[in-house]
Amino acid sequence: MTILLSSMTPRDPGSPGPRALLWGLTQRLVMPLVPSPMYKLRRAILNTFGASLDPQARVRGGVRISHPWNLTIGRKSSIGEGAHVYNPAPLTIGARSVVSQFCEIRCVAHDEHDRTKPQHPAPITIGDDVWIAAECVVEGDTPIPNGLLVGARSHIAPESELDRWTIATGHPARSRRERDYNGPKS
Amino acid sequence: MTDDALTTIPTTRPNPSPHTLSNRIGRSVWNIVQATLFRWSPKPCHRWRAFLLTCFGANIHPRARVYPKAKIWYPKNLTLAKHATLADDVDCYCVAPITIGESTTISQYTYLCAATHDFDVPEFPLVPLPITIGSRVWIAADCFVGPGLTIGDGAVVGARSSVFKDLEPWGVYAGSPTKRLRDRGFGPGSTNGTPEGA
Repeated sequence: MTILLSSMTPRDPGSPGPRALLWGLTQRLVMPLVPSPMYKLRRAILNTFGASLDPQARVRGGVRISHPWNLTIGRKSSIGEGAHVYNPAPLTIGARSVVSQFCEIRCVAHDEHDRTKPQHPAPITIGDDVWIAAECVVEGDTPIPNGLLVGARSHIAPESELDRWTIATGHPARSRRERDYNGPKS
Repeated sequence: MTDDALTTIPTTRPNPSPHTLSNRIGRSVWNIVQATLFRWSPKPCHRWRAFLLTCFGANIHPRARVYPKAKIWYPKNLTLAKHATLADDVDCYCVAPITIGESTTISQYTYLCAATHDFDVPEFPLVPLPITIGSRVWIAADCFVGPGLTIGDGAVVGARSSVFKDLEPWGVYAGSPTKRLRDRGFGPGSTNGTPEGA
């Protein structure tokens, strides 16, 4: 099944291709039937479509993922209920990171100098021990460093200035202070 | 820090549930009722929905109005006074008690988030913190209300605002984070008079 799906690549980049169509149907028809606590089944479905989720990664119910084959989630990381992931470019989430409920992760970016140009896919890498709190928006071309904590409803944009092990809030999110963390820092 | 130090964090289960068994069973049953009897009830049947919530342990005045698309995480932690309104698509994440006063309106798509995490320790435990909203408050559409907050009587919060700090009574607030714009046109000290019970 995995080999079959991964061999289905679209002939021209503009068309969604059979794999994307099949995923669209699965997301709309099958995923709503998977009860929220059944992480294993949801993980298996996503991995069938080419995602690489760690056996201890958790994706909650009601999460919408546009391109699961571009999704990588590390050990003990999770995506909260109702989050939207639009990832035409790869989205990589490290270990022990949390993307909370109703976040919007958009792996696309606009041309900085010409906003009339169409948006282009831009990968996002989320480090280890990150917490992106509820209802945040994350835009492409913005690497999220290890140990970053993003306050609820913040907007991580290309102009965000983010440092390791800090707390960032606002629109665009900026690192405001150091995190007072007692555990081992990655 | 080496990977060895990080692997000392227990990894037997990804995140053992912080909730009691009765809480989890109660929520499973409530989720089924919420998705059917509650969700499919006609809009004007507020008493029926108040009754359903009361059956699951909510402390709700029979004249409170909860619209069918509102989502309540755990009814036992919800307290609604007379004429308090939760509009459609309000998400009431009541891990800790959420108390809403008389004649208060929570407009559509608002998210009442009554829990955070202790992010200073690696175990990242859930920290429930109660939300108290006074009477005659209006929280307009699509606001975010953070954990542990108290919103004073008569406060107004503009649409799409994010509330991260306590709000004083009878103020008009908006923005992300919210800023006080002005006093409300009525209330204590106003020339337009004081409503009963304020």
